[in-house]
Amino acid sequence: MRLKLSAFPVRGAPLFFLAVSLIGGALGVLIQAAKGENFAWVFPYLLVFSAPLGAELNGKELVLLHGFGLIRERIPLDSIEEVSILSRLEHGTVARHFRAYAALWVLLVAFAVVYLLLPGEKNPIGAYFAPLVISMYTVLFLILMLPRKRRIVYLSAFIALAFLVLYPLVFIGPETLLPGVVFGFFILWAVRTFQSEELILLVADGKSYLLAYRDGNEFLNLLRRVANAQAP
Amino acid sequence: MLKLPEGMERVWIMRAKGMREVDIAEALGISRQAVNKALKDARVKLFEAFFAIAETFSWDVVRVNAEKGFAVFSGKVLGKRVRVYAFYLPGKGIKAFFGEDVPDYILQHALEVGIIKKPEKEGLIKALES
Repeated sequence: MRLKLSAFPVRGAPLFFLAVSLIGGALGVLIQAAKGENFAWVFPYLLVFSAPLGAELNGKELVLLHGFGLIRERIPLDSIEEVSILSRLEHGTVARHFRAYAALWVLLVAFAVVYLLLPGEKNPIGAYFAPLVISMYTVLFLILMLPRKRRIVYLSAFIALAFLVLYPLVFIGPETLLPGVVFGFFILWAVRTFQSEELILLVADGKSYLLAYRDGNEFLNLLRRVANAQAP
Repeated sequence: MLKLPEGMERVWIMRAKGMREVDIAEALGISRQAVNKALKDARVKLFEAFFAIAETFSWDVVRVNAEKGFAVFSGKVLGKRVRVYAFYLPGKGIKAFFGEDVPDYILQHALEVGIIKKPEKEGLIKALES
């Protein structure tokens, strides 16, 4: 059975590709600017290998798919130790269970802040890309880390939107307005999508997985039905 | 009310208290494969028992941890939304409690299986809710 489910790249090969892609992209732009070689464009393409592509649920296991289905994470159903709907827990946070993933997001925002502080007039990395990266990553980070704190997420999304549109407008000029608005819509879309889906934590054989599904109850019922079929 | 078979329960509680599978096998004089199989079967049974409780009372499942044997539910009682915390107690089966109405023997059990490090109600609720 194919499930329309998103498995976040929180561990293993998908996390590796996500980290290489984002850190490589962030550092690559800087090295490229200093050396003049054009190579930083390679990194964003690696994101494909961390992108979720749904999941398959068969009689014995849940298979999480990434990167065109080339990367598969197999979770035997009888090895599942815990299922939590993180967005329903009073103190549910992603950071507690996925420290490497959380650290990656913090690192990226730190990179962007450094870019913002880079010296030089009309520094396009600092004035344009940094607000973009800071705004988008901060909002996504808050959505993932504080799934129940809706007010904080909406407030941060509003501040991020204003920063994303106004900072380049003031420091570069009106030509940044249109792309700023486009990326702003992406932020709004991300907030709306994540607030309408439920974040599910799965622990199996000591390994934690993070999933997003439209209805937590439906996902639990599916797991239960399949697990029952093979119950002792 | 579900109770795990005696042998399976013994293996499960030893694992819940933090023992490694290989140590459990040695202590009970059985193979590691037998320990692994017992743990898998125990988890499937506990999941099913907690889900069955949620279904019976029309509660939403918030969290089920078959490793330590507890679950968190959200439900409506007399029109009010309440939290329900359930624990599997060896030899007794599943016991459920509303809100923070958790008795001392549950705190003791939570301490034994490593859900909390100090016998405090607030600490237990926070551990279950995070």
